[in-house]
Amino acid sequence: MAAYILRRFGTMLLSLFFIISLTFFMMKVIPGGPFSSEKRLPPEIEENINKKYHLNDPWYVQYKDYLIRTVKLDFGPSFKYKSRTVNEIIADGFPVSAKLGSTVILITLVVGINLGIVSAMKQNQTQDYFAMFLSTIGFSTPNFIIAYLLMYIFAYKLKLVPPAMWGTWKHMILPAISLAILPTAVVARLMRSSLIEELQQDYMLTAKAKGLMERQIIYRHALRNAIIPVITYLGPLIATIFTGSFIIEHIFAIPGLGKYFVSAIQNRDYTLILGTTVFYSLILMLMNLIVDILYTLIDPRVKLYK
Amino acid sequence: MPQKKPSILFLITLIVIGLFIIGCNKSSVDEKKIQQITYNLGTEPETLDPATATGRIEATVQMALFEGLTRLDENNKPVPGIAKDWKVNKEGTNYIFCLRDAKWTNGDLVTAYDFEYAWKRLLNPDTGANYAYQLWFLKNGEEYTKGKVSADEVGVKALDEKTLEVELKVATPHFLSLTAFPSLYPVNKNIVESNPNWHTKPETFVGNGPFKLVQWEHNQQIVLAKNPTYWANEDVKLDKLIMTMIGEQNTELTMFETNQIDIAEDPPLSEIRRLLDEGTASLHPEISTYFYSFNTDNPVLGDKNVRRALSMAIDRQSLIDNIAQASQKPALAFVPYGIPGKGKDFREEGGNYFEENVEKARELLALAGYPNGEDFPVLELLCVARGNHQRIAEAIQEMWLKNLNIRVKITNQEWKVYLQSLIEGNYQIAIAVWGTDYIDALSFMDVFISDGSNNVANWSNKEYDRLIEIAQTNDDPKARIEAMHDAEKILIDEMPIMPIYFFTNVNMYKPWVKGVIVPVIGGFQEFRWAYISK
Repeated sequence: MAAYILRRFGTMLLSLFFIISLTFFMMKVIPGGPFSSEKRLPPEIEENINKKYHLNDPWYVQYKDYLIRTVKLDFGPSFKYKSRTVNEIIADGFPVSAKLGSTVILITLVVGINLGIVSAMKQNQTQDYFAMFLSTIGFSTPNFIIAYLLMYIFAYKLKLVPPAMWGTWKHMILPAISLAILPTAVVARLMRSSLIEELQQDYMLTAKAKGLMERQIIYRHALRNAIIPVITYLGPLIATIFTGSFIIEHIFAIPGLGKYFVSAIQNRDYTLILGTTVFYSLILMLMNLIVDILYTLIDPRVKLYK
Repeated sequence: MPQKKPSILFLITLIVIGLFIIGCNKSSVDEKKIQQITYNLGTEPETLDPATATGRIEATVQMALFEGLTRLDENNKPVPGIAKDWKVNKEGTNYIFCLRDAKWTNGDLVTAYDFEYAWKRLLNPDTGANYAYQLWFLKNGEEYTKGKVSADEVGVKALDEKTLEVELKVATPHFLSLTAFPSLYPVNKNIVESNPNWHTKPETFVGNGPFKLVQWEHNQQIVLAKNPTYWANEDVKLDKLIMTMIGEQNTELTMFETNQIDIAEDPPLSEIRRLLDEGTASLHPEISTYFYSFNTDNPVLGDKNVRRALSMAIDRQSLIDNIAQASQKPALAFVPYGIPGKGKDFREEGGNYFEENVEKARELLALAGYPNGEDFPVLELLCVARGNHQRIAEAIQEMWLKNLNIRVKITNQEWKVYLQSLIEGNYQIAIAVWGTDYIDALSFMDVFISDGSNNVANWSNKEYDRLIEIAQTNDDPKARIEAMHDAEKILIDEMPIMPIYFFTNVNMYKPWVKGVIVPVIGGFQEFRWAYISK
């Protein structure tokens, strides 16, 4: 196991190197720089600024600096937010996004799995149609539409929750629901189909023959095997949800990390682009590793290493 | 036997019950009696350091936290700030400022040395300040930024703690207004030298304005409180000023309409008309111009008749009434209203320099060799998918097709890519906006001098250059303005740009908010004199 994990870390480092390199060269290829604005600066001032931020150095020097920064995990000052470092921005934003994200994952798992179980048990009956109808809506409605709708109903009309901003758990309700709808729909569908398949296995018959209660059969035996596809989906989902959503954080004015993935690129904030990319890559790769390890714990038939 | 209806219904019920429990406490903002205003700043300031800050967002916060030699009042006139009074020599090139007893938030005295230090810091090439050129009016200011002279030769000097001497390159009529601008705010020399990151946290931040920094929650809100060490603190009525960072227009409007914020700006386009009709929103003129730039290097657009034809064939009032909707004024010249001329308003003195006339436009197009738009190539109109740019571009495209029988293709580029295209001259027709940081017609007119860095039309005219040089160097205010009127006539006659309209800002204030000043440049909000009254 230890050898396997070590090997995985090796591949992660290699992937990270390619990601950083690709990001760096793509960043340099897109037109426009961090300090261009509608009023063009006198060339001497542009020169002074470029000098201050080392943008005049040859590309290989800049590339080397980026690599060193990544190794040290110190990404330097943001070009746009001149009084903050990239590390500070990530350290401020990530806990907020992660807090919201864990709520979203909780809703997704509880609602999604139960919805899937109901559908599978009542296959082609009213409950199944109803659950799958909900799931179709969740699939096909973009989350920002749901966000505006929820804000209009619960904040503007009913005044039950604050429309936006961050602070108390009340602020979390609308964004969490908006974000949870799609993954809940996905989990419900995955759960339904894999559970239906599982219910047709021979060991199910054995369990029934033993006279076990249906609840026991589902939760103790079928669920364990049926949940594998959900776990697969969960790895990248957690990475994505925990690092924040651009659109939902924008709509609800949440000080998370999500907005920077887009705005850093719009602002050509080179250090922030690099910082957020490395951070996201690390989390994604780590989540995938955890998922792979989880497989072996849930299903002893799965072997990670030979 | 089977277990019935597992937990979804139960969960949904839980959520609904939860929501109702939350609903029991309503916002108490309605009952507010305390002197507190919540204003939506919209986004996180890039920095609060006067030397490196540039934008409108930053300036709004800085105006509350600092004070320069002067401050602009509700008529945009400079009134004494940290400077108690000042003397100017006859030529208008030498100023002696006499400072009052004013304190920094840490208790230090605000001295003339702080001003000298702050101004030289702005100009210093190592600071890398975008706005260094705001002080190029100073003697040797430009030379210092360009690394040609040392700091000692710059025309600003503290004679003692309370006296500041300033030498200008030439008489600059708007210099006093400029001393109210955030880039020229003083900084506490000892603090800045001992801690370069002093401006990043409330604990270390030192200002000298009507408010002090209490809390800076990044990407969420900035909380300011009345500053007890401000020299006129008895005159400041607000106890607390909260600046939120809600970037989404619809969310901002919802927050405003549910009384979570007291001041909001720039409502969604689709709501502007309703808000203005209801009286919820109000209009504030803004000194800036919306126009299209013609790339005069293009063989077709190099012909003045084509440019004039295009410009005369659109209906500006219809664009304003149907799309922009905020009572902008049609622009039939370049310099907006609100800038002083010889005696009256510069624009009113000049009037309109051309008229919309479809017949005439067709004649001009025929004269250029394209009768009834025949053989006219399909030109590309460079646009940005932001705000109402695209809808206006589509309407203009339609007008040109209907009135001149010519086709243009609209291309959208991302903001920074668009800026790069403009700089490289890699476009045919492009949307453009010009605003200013100081109230003088020159800030508009010097854009189009030959090889001007913002002259993206690549237009050049010797007589125009000569007139602008007069405006830049002549000490006689009348002659300056006269030269600029003449220059503008040339600019519009040649039409390297197609003016569309002069901007307005649409702002929303709760009825209990009083005394907030909206300067005509930059669209800031000034809270120095603000208060709550119910």
